[in-house]
Amino acid sequence: MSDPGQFQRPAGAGWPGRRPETTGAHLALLADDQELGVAALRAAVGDGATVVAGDLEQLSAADLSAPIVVFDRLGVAVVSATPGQAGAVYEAASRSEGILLIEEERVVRAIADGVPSRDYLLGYRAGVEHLVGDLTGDASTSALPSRPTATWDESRLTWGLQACGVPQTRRTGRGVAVAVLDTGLDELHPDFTTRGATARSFVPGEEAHDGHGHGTHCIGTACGPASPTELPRYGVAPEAEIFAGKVLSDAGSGTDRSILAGIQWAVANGCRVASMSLGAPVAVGTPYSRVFEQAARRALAAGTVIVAAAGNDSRRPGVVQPVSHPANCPSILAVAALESDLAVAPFSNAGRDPDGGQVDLAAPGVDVHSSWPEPLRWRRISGTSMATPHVAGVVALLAEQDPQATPAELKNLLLQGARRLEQLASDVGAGLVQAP
Amino acid sequence: MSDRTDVVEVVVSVEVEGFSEIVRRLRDAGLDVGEEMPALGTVIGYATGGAISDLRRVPGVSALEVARHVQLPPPDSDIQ
Repeated sequence: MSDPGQFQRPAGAGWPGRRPETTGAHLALLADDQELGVAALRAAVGDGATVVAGDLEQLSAADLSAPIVVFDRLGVAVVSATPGQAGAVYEAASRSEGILLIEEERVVRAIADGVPSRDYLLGYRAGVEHLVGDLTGDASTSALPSRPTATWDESRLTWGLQACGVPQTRRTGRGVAVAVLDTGLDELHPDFTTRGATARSFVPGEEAHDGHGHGTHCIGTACGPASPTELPRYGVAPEAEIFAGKVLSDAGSGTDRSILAGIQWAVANGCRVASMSLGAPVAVGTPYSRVFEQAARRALAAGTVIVAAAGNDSRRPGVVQPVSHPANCPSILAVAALESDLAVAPFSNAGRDPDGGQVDLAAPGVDVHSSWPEPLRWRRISGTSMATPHVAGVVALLAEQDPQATPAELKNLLLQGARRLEQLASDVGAGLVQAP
Repeated sequence: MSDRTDVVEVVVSVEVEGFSEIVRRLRDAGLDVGEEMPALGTVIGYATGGAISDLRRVPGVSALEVARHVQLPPPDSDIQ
């Protein structure tokens, strides 16, 4: 630790505009003698800097806004340095025996009114614990490894259905109404001709027929049949009642107006879940839509859980974009996409906005086989759009299992039942969705 | 209103109680009401940019936003 210059400050750190994803905050891993490292950090940001120490549960929001916050149980200090101080912080980290490692805080904090939300703090703690695991090689072993060695045999069921535990469930979603708000359904598809889906278009001048393919793929994943005309099976809830709301045009475009109209239709038809594989990208720090949040709360109160795609704007490693509109609303469940080795998909957006905007769950979203309009009939594609209907299908299974469950209870069952993953909660939320 | 160039589509969140009365007040304040969704407490319509601050002040209105657009990738894209 005595080698000066060992800790290089990342190029461009603290330059607004060049590194918009950083905040000037840094995480320092402290040596056993924590006071030594804290003293060095304090000297770097100014001797008058307030130091607050404790565990997350003990610290108030005001405590957490102090220039130096020490999570003493974890041995990690969070240092809020101005761009001018950052160099001194890294220099101090290089010189002090009390600081083992230092790195930039990974998640941008955009805290309204200076008060972090509980969700933010929990995500923050997960991030700090992940860092400690990374740095000490002491990562939790209870979580599912992100890259299991098993490969999937898709001769009978898609990898996605297997990963979600569908082969083990007795539930089929029988009698549960599921709305998929998308580009409609190819009602002439041989896997759906006998299903009797209810379809309605909210796109001016277009029928509910799917002239794009996206909607037919998503409906297939949520509600495709137990015995498709060709294996493998790809539908999570094969006996659910399908409500195909066309809110996106054949060209794949839509507005808030058509989406809200689709939500209202799903609620009016008693759908227990509305699946929305759609979204518009947002910049970090953009507040979520108050209008969609209110609508989602009223939908929940009326009995409908809303799940939506987290968005595909990231290019990992390197570029990690925030959860899209409207999945970033707190009352809408945001779904991230996983690869078949259960690593987060490179395109999948993450929870970067603490006020709402977190990822709630993850589901299979790469190389997903499902129905597609004629003449292809089936197709493999990737996206958080493909992950989202896996979750909607599981909600249908849960609702069949417990018909009296309120939306809040369904949401709890969904989150509690998720299989934990060895990845950041900001990327995968509670983990991989699981059939009951 | 359609001849005005600064007309925008807006989505409005309002109280569920007294919904139709709030919609009437929104009309009076310049909203060209397109869709009423009483179950969600949502009203959608068109307004000029200049009317937006008046609409926000209508009693019973909790939020007003300019409608956003979503766009899927083309059907042949591998990432959807």
